[in-house]
Amino acid sequence: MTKSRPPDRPEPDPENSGTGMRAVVEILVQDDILRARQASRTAAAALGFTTVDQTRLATVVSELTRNALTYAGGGECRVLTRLTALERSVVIEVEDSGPGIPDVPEALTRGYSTRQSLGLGLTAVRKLMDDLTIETRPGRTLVRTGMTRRR
Amino acid sequence: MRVPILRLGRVLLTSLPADLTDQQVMDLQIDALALIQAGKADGLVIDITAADVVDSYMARILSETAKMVTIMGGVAVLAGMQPAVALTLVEMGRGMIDMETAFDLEGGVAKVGRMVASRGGRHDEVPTA
Amino acid sequence: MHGLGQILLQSRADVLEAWLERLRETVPGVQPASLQLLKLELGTLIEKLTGYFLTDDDDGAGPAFKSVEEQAATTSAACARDGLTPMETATLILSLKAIAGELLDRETSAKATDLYRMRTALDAVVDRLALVTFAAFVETREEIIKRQGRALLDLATPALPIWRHIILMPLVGIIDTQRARQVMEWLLEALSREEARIAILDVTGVPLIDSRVALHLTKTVEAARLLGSQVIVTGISPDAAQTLVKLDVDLSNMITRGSLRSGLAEAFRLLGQQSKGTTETMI
Repeated sequence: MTKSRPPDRPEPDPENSGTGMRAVVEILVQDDILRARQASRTAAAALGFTTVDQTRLATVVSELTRNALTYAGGGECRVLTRLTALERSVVIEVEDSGPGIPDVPEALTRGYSTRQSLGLGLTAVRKLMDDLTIETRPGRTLVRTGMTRRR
Repeated sequence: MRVPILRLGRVLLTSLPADLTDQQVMDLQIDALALIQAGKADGLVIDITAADVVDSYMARILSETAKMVTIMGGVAVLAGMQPAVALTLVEMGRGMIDMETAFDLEGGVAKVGRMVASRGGRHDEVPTA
Repeated sequence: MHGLGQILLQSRADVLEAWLERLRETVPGVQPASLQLLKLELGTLIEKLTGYFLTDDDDGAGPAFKSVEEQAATTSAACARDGLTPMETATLILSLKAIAGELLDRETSAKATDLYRMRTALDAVVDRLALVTFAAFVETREEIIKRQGRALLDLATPALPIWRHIILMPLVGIIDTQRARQVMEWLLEALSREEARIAILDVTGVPLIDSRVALHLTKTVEAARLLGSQVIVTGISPDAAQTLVKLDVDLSNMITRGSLRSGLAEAFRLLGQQSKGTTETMI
């Protein structure tokens, strides 16, 4: 007797799975913010993210890279994509070698700022994205944030 | 490159390009305020149809520009925001854009007209009794 | 348990028939189509069980038992899809004990000690299958619920252009965070696409308006404002109004009207106001 019913869940497709680095943008001048924004939008579009999600991502990249430029004089923005059988994600990493964020919980509350608009930027990032982690110490700060959608 | 500001009657019109650096936004603010101060216009319409990203920095500069224009006796309207940009701004927090808005350039000019009228008329006219 | 395997092999047709009889007793209202399908599933399960007992590896770890477990899970999923309750599904699987017990009682050729051992082994296997079945049942139900949830969410909320510059969006059903986001997205896109200056958001069909829904409404109004459009919320019930005031929700920036009719009147009034400010006065 053979099984008449197909399996309920699709098998993971190894061809379309895995993590990939989509772009690395060095942040040295204001124009680089625009390039990083564009790179994130392209990666999100390639994964079939909606216009609204692309806009959320590009806005987040704008906030984070500006922080790196303003407080650390520059940094690096990496755009990664990850595909699994059920989900697709874009992960943004912004790393700099600046003085670090002295009080992360406080920087995540609205209004706090060591110079103008840092607090607001990070709060916005947390609201627009699905996850946000911050590793920081004097000399190295890494902000990693991801957006995940169903396939 | 500076973003050009056009003058149509008593209204200043400017259309932001898709990719705008922080410096260009600041330059625009300076240029617009100078024109208002020179008495060349009563209102400013900033068209952002092309902008696909408005982050907290740009939102703040735009809102501040509107306040400065008001302090100098003019009115400012932001026109043509994309739906995805509006959605993102609202999700980022309350009151990111603290200025008047209009659907498109035409609506922006009309709104400036209404605001100037309710304020008591154009600055270059002697009020008729 | 080779002996048990042999016994099952000989009388599997009887076992299946007895099992189906139990099914009809346990679930009186079972549909003929479901019965056919379940017959297939239970038949396969008996085949696999027989195969397992014939292999002599009764520690429950071998590949033969794995395939029994898998078939039990599939059977249980079929039960869940055909609307059997967890109770009915578990009863059905456990009834195999009694059926096979009767079968062993009729078996006179074997020694009493052997019969006892067979019975214990069978009981252990069926108990384990009942657990597997239960887990699979819950999983299938959850999958069904999730799928239904998605289907509800995907039910397009239409944005109807009812007049030049006016669109109407009637909301029906419960508004949770995910749906609220979706509604906001659709509304803004519709405003932009139809070049509408006013959106009437009718919430007559929303059963519960609490502070969370109100927050989403406020956000939608603010987003529409950024676009240069206005939102009129209509159909707020007396109950909702009482709740919102008691919760102290700030709706000062929101235009609200009791009925769709008065909302439409307000829309026309606002449009009239907008067209008053003409371009010519400034040029």
